[in-house]
Amino acid sequence: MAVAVRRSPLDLERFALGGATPLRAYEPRSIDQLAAAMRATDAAGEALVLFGGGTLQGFGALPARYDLAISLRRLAATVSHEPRDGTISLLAGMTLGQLERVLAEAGRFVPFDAPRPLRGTVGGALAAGWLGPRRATYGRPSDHVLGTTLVLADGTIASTGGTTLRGSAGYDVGRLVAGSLGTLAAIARVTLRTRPLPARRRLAIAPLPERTRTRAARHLAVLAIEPTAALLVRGFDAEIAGHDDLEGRAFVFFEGSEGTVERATRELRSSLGAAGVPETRLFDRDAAETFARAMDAYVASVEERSVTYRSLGRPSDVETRGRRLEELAHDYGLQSESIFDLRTGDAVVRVVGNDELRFATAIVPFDDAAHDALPATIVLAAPALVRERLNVWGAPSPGLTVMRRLKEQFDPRATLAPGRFVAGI
Amino acid sequence: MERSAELCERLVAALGREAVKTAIEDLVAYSGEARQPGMQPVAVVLPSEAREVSAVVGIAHEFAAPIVARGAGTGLCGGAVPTRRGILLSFARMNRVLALDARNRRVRVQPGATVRALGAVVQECGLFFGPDPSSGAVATLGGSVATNAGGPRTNAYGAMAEHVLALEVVLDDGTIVELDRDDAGYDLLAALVGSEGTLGIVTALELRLLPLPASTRLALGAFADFERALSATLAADANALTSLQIVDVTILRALDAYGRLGVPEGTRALVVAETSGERDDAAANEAALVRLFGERDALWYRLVGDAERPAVRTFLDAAFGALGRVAPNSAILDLCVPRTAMPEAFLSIETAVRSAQVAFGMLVRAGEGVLQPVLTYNRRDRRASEAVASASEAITSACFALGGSVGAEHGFGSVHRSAFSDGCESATLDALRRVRDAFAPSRALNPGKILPEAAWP
Repeated sequence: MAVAVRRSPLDLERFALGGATPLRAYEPRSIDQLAAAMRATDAAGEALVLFGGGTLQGFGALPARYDLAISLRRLAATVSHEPRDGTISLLAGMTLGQLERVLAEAGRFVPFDAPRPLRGTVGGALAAGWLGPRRATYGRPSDHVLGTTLVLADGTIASTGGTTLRGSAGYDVGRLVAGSLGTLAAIARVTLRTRPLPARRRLAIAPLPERTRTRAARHLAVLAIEPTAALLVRGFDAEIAGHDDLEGRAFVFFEGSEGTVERATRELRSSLGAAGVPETRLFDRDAAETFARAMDAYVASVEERSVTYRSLGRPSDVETRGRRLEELAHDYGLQSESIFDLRTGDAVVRVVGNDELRFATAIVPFDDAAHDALPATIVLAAPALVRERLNVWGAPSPGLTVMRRLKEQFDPRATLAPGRFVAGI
Repeated sequence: MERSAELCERLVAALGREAVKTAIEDLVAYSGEARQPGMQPVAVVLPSEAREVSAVVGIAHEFAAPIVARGAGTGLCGGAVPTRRGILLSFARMNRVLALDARNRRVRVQPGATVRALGAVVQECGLFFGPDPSSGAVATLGGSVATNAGGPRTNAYGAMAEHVLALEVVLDDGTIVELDRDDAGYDLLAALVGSEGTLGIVTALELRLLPLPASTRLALGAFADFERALSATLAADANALTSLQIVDVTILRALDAYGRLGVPEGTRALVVAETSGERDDAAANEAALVRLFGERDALWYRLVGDAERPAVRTFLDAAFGALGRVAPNSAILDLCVPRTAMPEAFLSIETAVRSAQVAFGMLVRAGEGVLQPVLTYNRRDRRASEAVASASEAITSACFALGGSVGAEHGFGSVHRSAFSDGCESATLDALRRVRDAFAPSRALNPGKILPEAAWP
């Protein structure tokens, strides 16, 4: 088989998940090679895990079987890019950073908002169903997908959708596979809808004394000119800019024309001022980079003693849900840091143990309590050693029967990351 | 179906006589769409709630009867037209806006509610719903979700798939499930939207709403030929516009654009461009359009004031209907090509219709590369019918050769299904079959749509 095969323990360590290290790792250089590798694995009754940059492998449960890792990082090239058509086709192992550079040269972008873009790949962000803050404005990463070339578990190569901005795909299999964490098919090639880069980007950071927090949140929720992201941050000092020992900060990102961003800034300052917030600092030159770096916080761990949770829901109750998780953390002797997304309604809470022992004894009871309070809460990042003991996917969806049948249809021999997905799929 | 009478009795017993229509006039009225005649169902059923839909699914299975869910029948490709005798579900009674959550910009509606009725309700709260099919005054949200419709504003706001937050669905086995896009697991909504009623029956929708823009501007530009209009739209900053359409001379004449909109004689293509947003941005975009019309040799242009804007929308909404004045029948092709391929696609369309000696009108949504040529003819004239069929085939093939696709706004229905499946690799069709069999193993939901019947074992 004409694929790079890695067998040395050092190399294989890169693909370790939890305590499980694969027996082999492949790095195909073409879609045909990828298909051949998957076909052979399926025929041999082995199990494989697909890798992009490995940045979101903290998602999901550990695989029940794991013989082989297939890295798609060598499948990284622009297939076609026509800025005037508003589309780009690429091999899915391209990193998000590379995609950003290619598009920026033509004055375009695709808002993925995924962490660690220099390593993370387009295919990986899609497969993991990554959801970032700017989706409130631009839609989910999978909303930008116009077409995909998939490799199914048995090595079948199937193209779905197309390269046009509209047109039926029959069923949108590409979007169905996005978010399947590599359990339905491999995303090999993808065509994305691109957008013009905004004329102006500005990041506004306002330290929030605790007494101003709720009022500031209320004011931020009703701005006439909406920011593309509005986060209330507590903690995450290393990952998110603007920490200055106060209780928290508002982290607000604007994109648009010069005039609109200027007017939005004036409104923001006056609105936060009215909420008693002492100052709002503006960042223009590095706004996009600083915003992008903040995405790392969603999956960053504190040594081996933290777990990051995300509760999706309505923006109106994001603080209630987020504070519930913070209170529970406190009850179980854990520290907490939080990101409340006022536009999407995501409450992201990282719970941290002061020491490993405290963490090891408290995290499972906390996890149970968190899911009792907020059943749909999922785990974004957790140390491999405790992951098996956590309810990483939260309550099962009412569509579970259909999901199981989809898995049977697409991967009848359970070759693709068995047990990794919701309810043991 | 020999057990038709028994089937009807069971339906009446389950839903009441008022909800089950079997008179011939009802069966005829519900069997076709605006342009596609269909097979008469055994019964038309008008449920009032999801539980009744679930009961109908159970009864249908007992009688091995197919079920076709139908909105207002405004589709142009036969998506809701039965291909086999069975049960036709109309959502005419399930047409309410159930709950509006303005703070979170969500609304819950029944599938029979029309797009514009929803628009009217949410507008009072300073909100609007992005997708706006041109038939939105009568088109239902259930039908729109089945076809992933979006209308001209798709250019800015995307189609239904980007606005559906949750669906209540009656599955193939009669189970009622509430699927939310935030659920952990496979994105089942992604498969359901645009599935033409073949994967499940939607009984309620939760939709994303947007804040009403501070300002909306509309500009008209008249051109001496279609190519010039196309070239102007390609030079426009389509991303700055909510919609960017071109109407050809046939439609302009049929609608009397010259009298109604003041378009000068000699106009053979009219560009209609809308921009929305913050006041300054909308004004800047409008100024850019005016400059563009000047630079691109427009014969004439004018800005449309707020008061007149609804009239222009009504004018455009009537575009396809107006061609009924040109000829008794028409075939509408629903195509999309890469934007930069639009001029070549237009030439192919012209060549095909000239060679087949067919008259045609054309609407283009230039922001997305959507071309909707309408071939007009008289069905009783066999030569004309054959010519339309051959021109349609040539146009569709040319569109595929340019990297294009079909079913832009109306799905495949019965019109485009074979063009899609003929041009599709078997592995792709097989992947679609796997999706269908996972959702609807009985294959009783709107059979003969999306996938060719021959693909069924």
